[in-house]
Amino acid sequence: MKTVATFLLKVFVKQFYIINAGFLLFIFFVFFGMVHGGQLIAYHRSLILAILSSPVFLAMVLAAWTLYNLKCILFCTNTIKAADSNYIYTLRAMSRPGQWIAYLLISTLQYMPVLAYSFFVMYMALNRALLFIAVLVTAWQLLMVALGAAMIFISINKNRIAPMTEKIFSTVTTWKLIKHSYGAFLLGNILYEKKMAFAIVKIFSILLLSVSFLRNGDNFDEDLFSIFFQVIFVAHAILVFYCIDFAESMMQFSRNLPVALHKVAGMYLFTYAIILLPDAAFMLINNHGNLPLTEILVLYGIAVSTLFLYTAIGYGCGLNMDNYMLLVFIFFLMIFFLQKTGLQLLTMLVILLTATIVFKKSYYNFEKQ
Amino acid sequence: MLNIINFRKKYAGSTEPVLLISDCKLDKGIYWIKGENGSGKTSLLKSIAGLIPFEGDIVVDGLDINNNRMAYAKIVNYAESEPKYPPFLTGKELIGFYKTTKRGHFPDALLKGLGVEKFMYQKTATYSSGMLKKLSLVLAFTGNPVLVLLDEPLVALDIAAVDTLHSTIRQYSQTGVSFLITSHQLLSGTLIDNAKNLLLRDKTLRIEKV
Repeated sequence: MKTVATFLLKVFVKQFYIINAGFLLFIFFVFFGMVHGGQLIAYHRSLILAILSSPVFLAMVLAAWTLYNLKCILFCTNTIKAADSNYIYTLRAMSRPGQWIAYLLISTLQYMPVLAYSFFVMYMALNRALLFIAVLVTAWQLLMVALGAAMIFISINKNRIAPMTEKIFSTVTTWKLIKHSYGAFLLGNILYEKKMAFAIVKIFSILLLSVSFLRNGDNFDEDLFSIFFQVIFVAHAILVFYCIDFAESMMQFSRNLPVALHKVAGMYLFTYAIILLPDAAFMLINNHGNLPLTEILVLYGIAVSTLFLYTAIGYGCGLNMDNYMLLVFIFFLMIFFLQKTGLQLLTMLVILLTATIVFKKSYYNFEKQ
Repeated sequence: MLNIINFRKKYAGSTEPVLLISDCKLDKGIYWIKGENGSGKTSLLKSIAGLIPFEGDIVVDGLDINNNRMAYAKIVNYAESEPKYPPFLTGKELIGFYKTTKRGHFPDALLKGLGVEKFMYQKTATYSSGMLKKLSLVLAFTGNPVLVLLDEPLVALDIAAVDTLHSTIRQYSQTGVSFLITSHQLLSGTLIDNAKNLLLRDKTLRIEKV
């Protein structure tokens, strides 16, 4: 049994965490890296209190946990289904109770990050005599773990059912939400194929923002922040490059579809708005009055517009990396001086207008070199 | 049906055009484009499909690609020689995407005939070249096309799929849909009888006299 458990942990648990390292790191960063160390406990305490006090918030959290569990289940069923996983079917030779114990172990370990957090939710619920919520959360988590184990059991023992589970899950996972949405394909590529690059850019970006907002929080230096803000754009330029490259290789077929140019532009703007959300959230959470709220929102708009400008540049230079980076650097200087005028809204509009003109002129003339 | 006017295609960084078609008018029908490797067959189809830029104009059923791109894209469908799709999407999701954008008729019979329904719930990353080809053919018949461009449609297909494709082309052709097909493999007897031959040679397109 010990040998089987070690084998299963390697195949299902270790691989799961290796493949999803970028995703988990990102989630960890959003929840623990974006808040000042001294405020971390108070932040999560208030977050859990919000979960306990609002049924809507609690339902949203349970839904998010369920989505994570579906991700774990899909990983297992795909591993089992994979052509080179025939060896996994030898597990059918094990006794049923033995199999259940093994699969419960896999399911628990994959679901562990959620279980650990929910433990604190249950603890605080019990502390406040909110017995119903404590029981609900406990029952929900037991159900999630059991469901995970059951899906592995079914996939291994009744492989005829595997395509059925795949069919069900392919329609209920997050892709269901976006499967007909043109705007989400680029985002899908970043989160699926380029997750490591995405995680590195985000860590770098949040580090720079941390220096401005946390380390120098009391003596907020607007000049230093302006430079860092621009450097963050330049760091994101590589993600923009990947987006265009993906759209013009894997999505080239979409040029034969009746999709209006403004929708294509919208697809890029939507992607960048989502990609830049963690940075905007970090600035909002850690602002402490350094910048007015409206200015943060305009800065977010400048960031999204600048990435769209990089997109237009990418199309304009035929996605030639040397020319692209040269133009990114030139615009880095131009936007920096434009921002120094203090007219942030005007800066955003100028960038957006320039980007739109260049994009309109270059999109249909683009051919990958 | 198709009118190519002052067409000129150059590759980036090159001064010499690879294709020069001053004027070419084609009526409705099935056309088999022949030409040596590198003669520009794929570039011509990609230009007509709107995938790559060119100088000049292309008009299909009175719709000009440069000025009516949206309406044009609704009536001109294209299946690539070596189709590529985002690996994280399933065939079903791509079909949904095409249905949403192209609208109109969906080729259920072709979907079943080619067996795409059996694997469409898998991500395209797991598809073989034959499966990708079958999916691309189903997508090329989605909507209400006036002109369907098929670049090497027979490559990687099994015998049963080739038969299904041939009969689908015949059926669509009878309803007035035109086809431009490039193929180094022989088309079936009835299709050859109905198809007009086009020859791409010396950078231009000519109707071949039999």
